[in-house]
Amino acid sequence: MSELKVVVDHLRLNYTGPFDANSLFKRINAFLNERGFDLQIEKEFEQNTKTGKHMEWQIKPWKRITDYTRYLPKIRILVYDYNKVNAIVDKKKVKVGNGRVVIYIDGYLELDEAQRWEGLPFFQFLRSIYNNFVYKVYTERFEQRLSYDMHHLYHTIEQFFNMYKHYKVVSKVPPFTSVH
Amino acid sequence: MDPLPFALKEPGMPTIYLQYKGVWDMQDLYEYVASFFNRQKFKFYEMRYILKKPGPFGTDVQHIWQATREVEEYYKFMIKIFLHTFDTQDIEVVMKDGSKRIFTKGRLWIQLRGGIETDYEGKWEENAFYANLRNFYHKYVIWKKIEGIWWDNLYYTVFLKLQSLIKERLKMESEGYEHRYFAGVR
Repeated sequence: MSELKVVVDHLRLNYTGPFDANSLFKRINAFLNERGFDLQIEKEFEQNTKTGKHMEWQIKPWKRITDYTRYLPKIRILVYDYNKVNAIVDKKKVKVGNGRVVIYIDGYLELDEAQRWEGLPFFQFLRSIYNNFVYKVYTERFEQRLSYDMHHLYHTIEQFFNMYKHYKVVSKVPPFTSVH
Repeated sequence: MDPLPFALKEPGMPTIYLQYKGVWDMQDLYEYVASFFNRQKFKFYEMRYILKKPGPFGTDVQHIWQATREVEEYYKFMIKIFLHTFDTQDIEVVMKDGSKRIFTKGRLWIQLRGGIETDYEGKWEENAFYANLRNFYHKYVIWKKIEGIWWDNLYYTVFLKLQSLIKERLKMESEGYEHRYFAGVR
């Protein structure tokens, strides 16, 4: 096993309200693609239940920084009771998804990904010395960058959900009531 | 005779899991997957079809499909699909144009696995010397090519595309993916 450091631990985002699930997934994929991450899809579960769709989406993209290090974030999205509802946007009636979503973001830094320093306990000891003392500056810099990327992603998702703040779901706010 | 040394493993491909509960067109899904492999010049085999005794909630069917493409003399792409449908029942669905069709209602579990198989004809397995030579060739000569070109080609242009198309046929919310036109529009 290569050395895996937890840099971002369960960054969590909750949202309930109108949003488009497909756009959310595409936004996250586009964000990771722009930053040069390779995509690894782990789970794509979708279940139609009586209360709406229940979805679980988990990806584990990776990005090789050096031949020794790579970023390994994990993004898990859980969507509950997702239904298509009518909403009023700019005095027009549109159909959007509505539901509850929970997002978990983890960021791992994988050191010695090719497992070249894995063979003997002495090598593993040497690796730890190098990672924590000799190459400390580099290791910390990589950690900071990964942390920055994950928080940036978090911010992007927040922005995405804020886009929907002016959507009024008809079943909750009838279109004839005043907006403010 | 000494046993042959172990072959150096090619980089593995992560398994993709898809789970779906609802209504879908099984016939369409099957035909679409088969035609996808046909378009991509793969040979498509239906390895197993297991129909279990229907339970109280419906039938239980397992399909194992395999598709291979001999890209060059030395390596080939291989994709395995494990498809398990359970608690399924046939239901009649009225389409938008008023026509009626038979769809499947139940649960679906799909596992997609793939990989690159080098020296698939076993030419370099005649004796231990050849096998060692092959391992050396993999490890020091073409490793970057396997990892960076062949693997990427299989993963992005076939594997993820297939997964995306399956989602499209099932009309899942997460359909579509960023790398669909990664290697040009086809």
